[in-house]
Amino acid sequence: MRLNSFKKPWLHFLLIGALLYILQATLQTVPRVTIQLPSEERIAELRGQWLRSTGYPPSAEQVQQLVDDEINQEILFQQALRLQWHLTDAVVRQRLIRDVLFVDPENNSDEQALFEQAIELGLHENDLVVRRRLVQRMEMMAYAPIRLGAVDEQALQSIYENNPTAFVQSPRIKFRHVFISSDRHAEAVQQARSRLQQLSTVTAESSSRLSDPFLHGLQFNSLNESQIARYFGADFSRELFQQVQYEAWQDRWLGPITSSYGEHLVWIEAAQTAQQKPFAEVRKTIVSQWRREREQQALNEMIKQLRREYGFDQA
Amino acid sequence: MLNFCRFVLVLLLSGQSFAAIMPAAEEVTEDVFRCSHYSALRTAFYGDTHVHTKYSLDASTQDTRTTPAEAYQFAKGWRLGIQPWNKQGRAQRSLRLQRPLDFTALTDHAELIGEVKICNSPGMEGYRSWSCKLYRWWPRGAYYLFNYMSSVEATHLGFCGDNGALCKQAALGPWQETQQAAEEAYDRSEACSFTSFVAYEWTGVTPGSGNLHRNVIFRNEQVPEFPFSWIDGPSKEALWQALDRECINAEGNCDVLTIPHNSNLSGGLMFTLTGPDGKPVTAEHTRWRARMEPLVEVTQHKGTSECFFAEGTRDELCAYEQLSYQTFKGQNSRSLAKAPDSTTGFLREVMLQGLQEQQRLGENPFKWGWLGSTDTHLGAPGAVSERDFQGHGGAGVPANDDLPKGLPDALEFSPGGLAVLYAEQNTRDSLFDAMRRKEAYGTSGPRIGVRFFAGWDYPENLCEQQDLLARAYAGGVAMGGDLNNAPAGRAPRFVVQAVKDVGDKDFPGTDLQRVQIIKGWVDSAGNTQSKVFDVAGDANNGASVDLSTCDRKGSGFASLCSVWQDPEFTAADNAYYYARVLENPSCRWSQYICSANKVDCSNADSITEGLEGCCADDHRPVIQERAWTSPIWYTPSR
Repeated sequence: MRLNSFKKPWLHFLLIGALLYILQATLQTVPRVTIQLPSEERIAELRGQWLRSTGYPPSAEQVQQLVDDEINQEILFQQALRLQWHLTDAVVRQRLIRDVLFVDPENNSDEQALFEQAIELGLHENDLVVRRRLVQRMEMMAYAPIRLGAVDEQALQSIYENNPTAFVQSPRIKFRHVFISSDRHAEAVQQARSRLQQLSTVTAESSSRLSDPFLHGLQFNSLNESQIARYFGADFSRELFQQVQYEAWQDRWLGPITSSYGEHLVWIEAAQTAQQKPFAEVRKTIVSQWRREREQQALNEMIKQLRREYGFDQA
Repeated sequence: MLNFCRFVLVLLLSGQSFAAIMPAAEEVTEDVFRCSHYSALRTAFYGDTHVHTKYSLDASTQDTRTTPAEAYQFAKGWRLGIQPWNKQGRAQRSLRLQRPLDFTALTDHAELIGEVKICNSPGMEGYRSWSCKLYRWWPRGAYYLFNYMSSVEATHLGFCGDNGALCKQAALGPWQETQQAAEEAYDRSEACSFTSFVAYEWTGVTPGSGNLHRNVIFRNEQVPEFPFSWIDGPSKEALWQALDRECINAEGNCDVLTIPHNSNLSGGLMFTLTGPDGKPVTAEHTRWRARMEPLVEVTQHKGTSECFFAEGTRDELCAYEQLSYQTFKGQNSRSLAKAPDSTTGFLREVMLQGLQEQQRLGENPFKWGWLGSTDTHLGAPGAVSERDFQGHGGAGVPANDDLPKGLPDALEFSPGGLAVLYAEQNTRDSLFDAMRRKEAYGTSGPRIGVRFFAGWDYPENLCEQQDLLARAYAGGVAMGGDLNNAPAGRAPRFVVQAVKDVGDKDFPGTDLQRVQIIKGWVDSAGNTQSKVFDVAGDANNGASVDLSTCDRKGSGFASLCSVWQDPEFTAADNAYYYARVLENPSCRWSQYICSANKVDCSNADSITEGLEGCCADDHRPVIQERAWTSPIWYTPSR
């Protein structure tokens, strides 16, 4: 009786159907594309590149990293091929046509034929420029929603507000100086002191005749600490800004302050304290920073997703 | 208008003497604005005009991930992550400039950033196809259309979003991104803290792998639709034609110049005196070249091109960072390497040919201002420090390792140098004008300051005058300029003023050793001559460097100044003069690593893996860093 029921056609129908259903479900989770893991030769090549550029061999972990990167690039490349971008991308097309003509300069076929020959020969699979171009397009693809999307003004504002030190206009000083060269004067500090006395009898504007010549000039317009450091050295610049911060500087000569070149007496014409830059001025910077971070996230996300769709094959 | 008023005000306030010597008004192609640091007597701005980002194939294959925007941020003093990268995509090492740059041009290879001009070669099949016709008629439209076609497939897969917008965005290339990054990096505020230039590299080579590369630098944001590459036109003339057609003669304010580099690797073919037709160049071609190519890169990562050195050369300083081969072939294969000689592209020698051409044609094709740059392939403009050089070609040493394990770059390469421009202010117009008038100099890395002028009537005591600069401008020409109309019986006077690099907070600059003036001329018999004159400082000041610690010993000069009159001047001879400023000796980048690792070449055990270069025959542990000014030319009246 039991055995008999197995012979019933409707049961067969159901069983076969169920089997097919399971089979199909299983098959669907099988990755649609399989990519080859880097071969031993390729890994040796990557190690060699590393060795050549660093002067020492990569550690096991570093090799793993190189291999992972290689796999990610390969996935992006394969994905681009699946999208058939190699058949339609203008750059790839031109490159492949040149490749064929390079191999066979006598080839007289028209562009389309040359291109088809290249594809037939599989030149697109091994050309570095084609590969870079397609990988790059995939990267751009990941970035696209962010580049095309609206900027989150609130996020920008909060970056601006949460990083007050990042968007500061540093203090600036406008000044003139009288220079006493240590190459010309063995006792430059003494010389500076005596000129300081002489300076009390002349106006700031006519002070220049008491100065030795200075390559970068005697008058400086509104510069910040690092800008002044490039002409006078970091020690001089720090000292000057400290004096301006802590001492009365109006209507008197400061110094002598020592630089790499000698002594300087300094007349401050204007000093501007640190100021928060207005949001409008720094928005451009914040936007590109915000975008870049999100682009990187998007690319990582894309690779993560694609990795699920791909199977890997030991070479 | 407000800015213009401010400019007038600055002029009025800055004194009548400035107004009198104010150099010819600069060409203005951008909104007129004056920076808060404006100076009529011009100041030195430091930069790098030769930088590769991840969009250069030879950088990306070494896992350089620096984007154009990041390269500009690095130039401004931000920290930059460099390879190797960990799983999370975080850099394992980083670089940061102690002193930010004032300007930078990013020069990715046009050939490899992937954008080729389609349908521009009448000889090619398909030139007359409908798509090419469309292209010539409406280039931008056709470009988008081609890329739209390429996104159609993807659209069918539901991958491209509405109207394929995402795929269209993806098809936009690096040329757009590089322009966008330049725009974002350019400080258009009154602070004028940083200037970016849109640029690319035209990467030509000779059949024998000789280098013909030129960097193409645009004045402002108005640039051609596509970078014109070597594939688009495989000769410098084709490049200049394209730049004339698509930029200089096009509508708008596009302006451009090209800067050749690594003539030391050209096998002597970078600066030839024959045109594309193989015939001797004409005066017209020469004028064209002078207009397109006012500058040359004298030093960079892959060697220095100032002058040729071989055993017996009187000017021993020519040996500085000279490569042992004359084309790229030599880099890849030592067995194919051919040694350089005096005809393989060294500038002092080529400029002498220029003087001969001046006699023959009345025009000098090789009349360049000089710049240095890095040619970094890490996207790290201005990373010129010898002390912590991590290579420009690839990865260096992981930061988490205590001691470096090897040399991070080929032994013969170096960190390269800087480009310095004398300009009124740090804006594109002002800097570009400085490039055009060649008021420029190159350094091997340090920020040595140097000014160089020539005139007929400078007083002997000009160095003592506190208004030296105003007098020098008013009574003569600055570096890059021309000296004409010799008064009878008079020889030109040169004033050269130099100051040492002040250094940064971790590393005080090295003292100066001496200043030289190098004269090149064609004598009455038509022979080329050159001679080096020491004009200030002391070659035998006893300064040295301790190779085991790299400490510098002895002292030199903080500044030097000299008024020099040519004692052998002949009014009938074409001549050029340039100044060379030398620092005291210091360690080369490789020696810093060798000494940190305690390599002792007499003890084989101390030469660990990766440090073999420390004891190689061609290792030069000590260098003298330097600056080269652009020349000043003397041309006799005809």
